[in-house]
Amino acid sequence: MLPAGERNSIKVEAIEISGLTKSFGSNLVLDRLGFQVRRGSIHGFLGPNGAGKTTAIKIILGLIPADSGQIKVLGEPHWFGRKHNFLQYLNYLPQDPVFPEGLTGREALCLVANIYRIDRRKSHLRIGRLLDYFDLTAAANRRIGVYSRGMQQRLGLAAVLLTEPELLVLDEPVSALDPGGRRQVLEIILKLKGRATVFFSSHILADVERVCDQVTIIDRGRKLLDAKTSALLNRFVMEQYLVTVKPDQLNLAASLIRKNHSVRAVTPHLNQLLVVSEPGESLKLAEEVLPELIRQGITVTEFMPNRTNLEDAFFKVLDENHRLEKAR
Amino acid sequence: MKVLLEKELKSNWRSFRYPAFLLVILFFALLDPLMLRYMNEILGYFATGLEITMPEPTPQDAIFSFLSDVSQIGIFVLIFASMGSVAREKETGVTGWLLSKPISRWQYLLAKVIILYLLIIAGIFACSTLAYLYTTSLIDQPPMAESALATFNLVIFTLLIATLTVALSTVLKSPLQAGGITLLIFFLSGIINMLIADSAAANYYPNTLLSQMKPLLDGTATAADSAGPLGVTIFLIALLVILSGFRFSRMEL
Repeated sequence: MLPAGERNSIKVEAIEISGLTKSFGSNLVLDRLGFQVRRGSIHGFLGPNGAGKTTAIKIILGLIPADSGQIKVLGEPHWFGRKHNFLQYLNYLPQDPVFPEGLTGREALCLVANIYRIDRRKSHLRIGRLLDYFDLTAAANRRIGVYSRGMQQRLGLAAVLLTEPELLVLDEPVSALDPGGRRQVLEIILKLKGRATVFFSSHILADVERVCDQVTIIDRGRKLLDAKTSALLNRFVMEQYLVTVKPDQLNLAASLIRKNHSVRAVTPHLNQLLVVSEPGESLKLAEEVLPELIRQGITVTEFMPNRTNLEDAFFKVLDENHRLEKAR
Repeated sequence: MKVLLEKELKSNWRSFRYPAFLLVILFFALLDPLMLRYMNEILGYFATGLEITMPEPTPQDAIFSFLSDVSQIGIFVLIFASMGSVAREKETGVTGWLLSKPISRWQYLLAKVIILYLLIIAGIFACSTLAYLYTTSLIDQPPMAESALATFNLVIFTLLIATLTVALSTVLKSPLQAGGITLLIFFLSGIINMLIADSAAANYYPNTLLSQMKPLLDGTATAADSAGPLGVTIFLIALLVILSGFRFSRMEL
C-alpha cells in the first residue's frame, strides 16, 4: 500500500458496489444494490427508515457479510472476515457514537490514534486541537459515560477527523447536534471536499443538499436514484411550473392546460396553477402550453419553474417508485 | 495488540469488574489463615457450656481453605466479572466500532483473553503467596512446593472456566446468557466430578485438578497424578479459544 499522501493520485473510485444482496431470514434488506462513490466527493446516502442504509454501511465496513455482490473499497476487493488494508485509510462514525467503557474523552482519542499508529507527538497536537475545536477541552479528562449525546457525537467526529482518513463513512453524523453544532460539522465536511471522500447517510435532507455533490437514494434495499445533487434538483425543478393568470381566467386556463398530453396534473395553488409534467416531458410542456394559453387569449403574467429542494425531490423519487411498484 | 491490551485493562479496571475478583480472593487470603488459627477461640467464645474438641489447625489446612474458597466463590465472582467481556461490547456497538478500524477480530478476542489470563494467574498466585506468608506467621510454614502445585492446579482450572465464559460471551448475544450457562456448566461439572470420582474417567476430568489440591498439600499425591486432567484442561482451553475465535471471525456484528 502507498503512503496516505500518495494515495490521492489513485484514480479508482472510493467505493464501488455492484449487485449487493442481503437478507435476514426471509426479509430481503438489500436487493442487487449498486453504486459508486467518486474519490474526493461528498456523497449523500439517503433513504427512509428501514431502507437498508445501515446494513449497506456495515457490509462496506466488513461487519456483516453480503449474500452476494461485489464491493471494492479504495480499490481493494472486499471479502468478509478478512482484515483489510483499506481500514487503515477509512474511519467510521456510527449513528450513536460508542466508546469503550470507562475511558475519558482524551483516552478514547489516544486509543484511536494508537490503533492508526499515528506518531505520538503528532497525535498529541491533533488531539489538543480537536478537543478545543469541538469544545470538549474542559470535559477531556472526564469519563465518556457522563457526556451528553451531543458531546459524544462531537467526540465521535473528533475521533474520525483525528486520523485524517482518506474515506470517512458517517452514519447520521449530525443527528444529535444542536443547530450550531450542525453548522460547524457541515462546514468541516465542506472543507474536506477534494481532500477526502465523505460518504454519509442522513435524514436531514437540507444538510445533504448543502454539502453533497452526489446522492444515492435507496428504498427497501433497492437503488432508486444515483445522481449529482444539482442534476437531481434540476430534474424536479423542470418538472413543475407555476402559472399565474388573471384571476377570472384561472378555471379556463386550467382546463386548457389539462388538454395537453405532456401534463400529468394541474392544481390550483394560491391564485396560481401548479402544473406537473409527465416524466421527461417538461420542456415539451413549456414549449406547447405557454403559446396555447396566449393563443386562447389568456393573460399569462408569470410562467416559471417551481422551486424545489432535495426534500421535495427525495419524496418525489420515493412516490414515483411506489407508483411504479403498484403498476407492476 | 498492545493498544488493545491497555484498553482492555483500563476498561475492566475502571468498571470495577476485575478489581472485584481480586478483592474477593484477597479477602480469603487474609481471612482463611486467621479463621483457622483462631477457630477454637471463636467457637469457645460462642459455645459456652459445650465442649468441642477441634484438631489443631495445620498450615496445609489454611492453604487448602483459601484455595477451596477461591475455587467456589472466587470463580463465581469471576464468571460475573467476565460474562460480558464480548457480549456487552457487541450489545453496545463498541465491538463494531473497534472492528471498523485496522484491528483483526482475532486480535480483539485475544486481547480480552490475555488480560483475563494475566489477571487470574497474577491474582491467584499473588494472593496464594500472601496466604502462605500469613499462614507461616500465624500457624506454621506450609510446604512450599506442594502449595505452589496446588495453586497451579487451581489456576489452570480457573483459566478453563474463564475461557468458557469468554467463549460463551463471544458466541451468545447477552452477558446474562453467557454467565448463566457458564454457571450451569460449572455446577454440573462439580456434580459429575462427585459421580465419577472413583472411576478411571476422573484421571482425565478437569475438576480432578481441584480434587487433587488437598492430596497435593498433604503429600499423598504428586504432580504426576494431575498430569491427565491437566492435559485435558489445557486442551479444552485451547479448543475453546480456537472455536470461539473462528465463530467470532464469521460473526455478524
